[in-house]
Amino acid sequence: MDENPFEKYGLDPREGVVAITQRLKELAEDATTDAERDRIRAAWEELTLHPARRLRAALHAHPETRAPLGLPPSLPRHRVLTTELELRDLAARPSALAALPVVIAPAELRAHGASDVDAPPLDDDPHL
Amino acid sequence: MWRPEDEALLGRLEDEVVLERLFRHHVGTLAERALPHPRAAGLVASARHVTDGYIAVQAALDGDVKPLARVIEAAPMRDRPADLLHHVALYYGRVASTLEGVAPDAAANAWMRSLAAWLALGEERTYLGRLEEAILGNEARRKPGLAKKPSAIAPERVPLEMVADLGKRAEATARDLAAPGRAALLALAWVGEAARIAGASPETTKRAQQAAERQRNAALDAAVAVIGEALDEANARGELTTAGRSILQRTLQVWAWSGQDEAVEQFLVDRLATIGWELYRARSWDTLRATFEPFRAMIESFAQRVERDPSRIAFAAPCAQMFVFLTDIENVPLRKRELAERAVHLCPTHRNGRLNLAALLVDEASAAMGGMIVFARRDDVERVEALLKRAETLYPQTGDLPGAKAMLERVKRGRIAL
Repeated sequence: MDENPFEKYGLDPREGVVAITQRLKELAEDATTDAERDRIRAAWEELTLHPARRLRAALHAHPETRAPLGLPPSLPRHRVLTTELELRDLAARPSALAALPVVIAPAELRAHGASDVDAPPLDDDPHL
Repeated sequence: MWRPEDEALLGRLEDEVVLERLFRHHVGTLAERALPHPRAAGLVASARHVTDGYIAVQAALDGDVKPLARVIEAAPMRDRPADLLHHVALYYGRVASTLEGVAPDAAANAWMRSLAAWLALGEERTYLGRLEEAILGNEARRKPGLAKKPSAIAPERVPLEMVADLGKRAEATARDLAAPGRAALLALAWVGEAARIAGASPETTKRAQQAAERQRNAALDAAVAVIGEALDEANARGELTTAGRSILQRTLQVWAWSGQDEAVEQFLVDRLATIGWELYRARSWDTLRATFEPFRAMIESFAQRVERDPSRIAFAAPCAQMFVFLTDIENVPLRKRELAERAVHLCPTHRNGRLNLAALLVDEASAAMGGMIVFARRDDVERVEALLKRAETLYPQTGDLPGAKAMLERVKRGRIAL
């Protein structure tokens, strides 16, 4: 099953040829092998030199309807613990807990974790 | 601290988990090698905003994806947000292309749902129009003097492009009768159902059905062309009666591959009649019987179509001729009569059918009179009289009819009526 170039290289079809070129240029510069660079070049030609093929690829690319991610949390150089942590602060969120293997999330922990807790980001974990 | 960005990331990851579960629900273990791109998880994000969607996504997170499957395939699709329809169209396309090699019927169902979403998108028009404008707009402006964007596809034509894609898939495997082609052919046959699920207008439905029929016919022509060429070559070598039977056997495979399409039945009836007449003239009854035997189900299927639909009258006579041949090779008298009756029922004016049935009626009357040595039951005599009358109506020139009528007169005069 061929991968759609818009999906494979994280391109938004609506941004036009200039944005596609810019993004693929960056990817080509970061590519570590000639084969990968050739694939990127082929995708660039496919998407920029043939409007009909670009349209077709766009129609076959899932639209981006996921919520924007925003920026990752900043990592402070010196960690300062400003609040007292309780057990509930260490409990994972239910959906994250459900994804953990049973050995990592035993029943008693899951029973606690399944309650309405706000899990702290890992950066705030005093044990890390 | 838990930020909105973290919530968004968690939401994306949850959506990806749900999409993966949904995909596994539809394709089973094949999901391992064909998982959709993470961007496809936007389907789940979009589904949250439609009626029952949020609850269905939550159920999927808890492990039950069936409610979500029901939400995304519910009819009519035309009321759904366009971005969700785009996701659904591509998602089911992915399901279909994953399944087509191993489960063509299930793949056809997925193609059909994909097409339904495309049809609904085509009817909505705005979404596809804007998408095309965003993608091709610059090219169009760069080429002054061009009244129309050269690469643009009118929104209502987009589903037809997908129909054409299915046609290409079917035609590509028409010679080796591979499973993906069967999936595509079945999907093309279900375009009417796709239009119903889409909630498409009658015009859109008609346009899609006509396009699908063209594609189906092209693929089926390619599939039977192989058989036709082989039969023509056998005919040129003078081997139609000896080689025709084995060549024509492939029609059964094409028929199964096509989902028992009528076009294959028409081809069979046409070619089988040619071989049948050759064998009939050669009085090769055993070969004629062996040649026709495998195709009884196909002939019956075609006959039922002709009987159901008066507009298929053009095929009534060729189909009736099949039953005349079947009558000729039948040994059981009762069954022989049934087949002859069927031929006349299919085509009341078919000469061979009428002749055949009239001859059988005369035979039956003669056999009945042969049992009337001294006594004759009045109702038996009346039955014989009716048989001969019908035979005369069907085909007055029936060879044994005058003799049978004379015999009947003798019976009436000489036997003691009971």
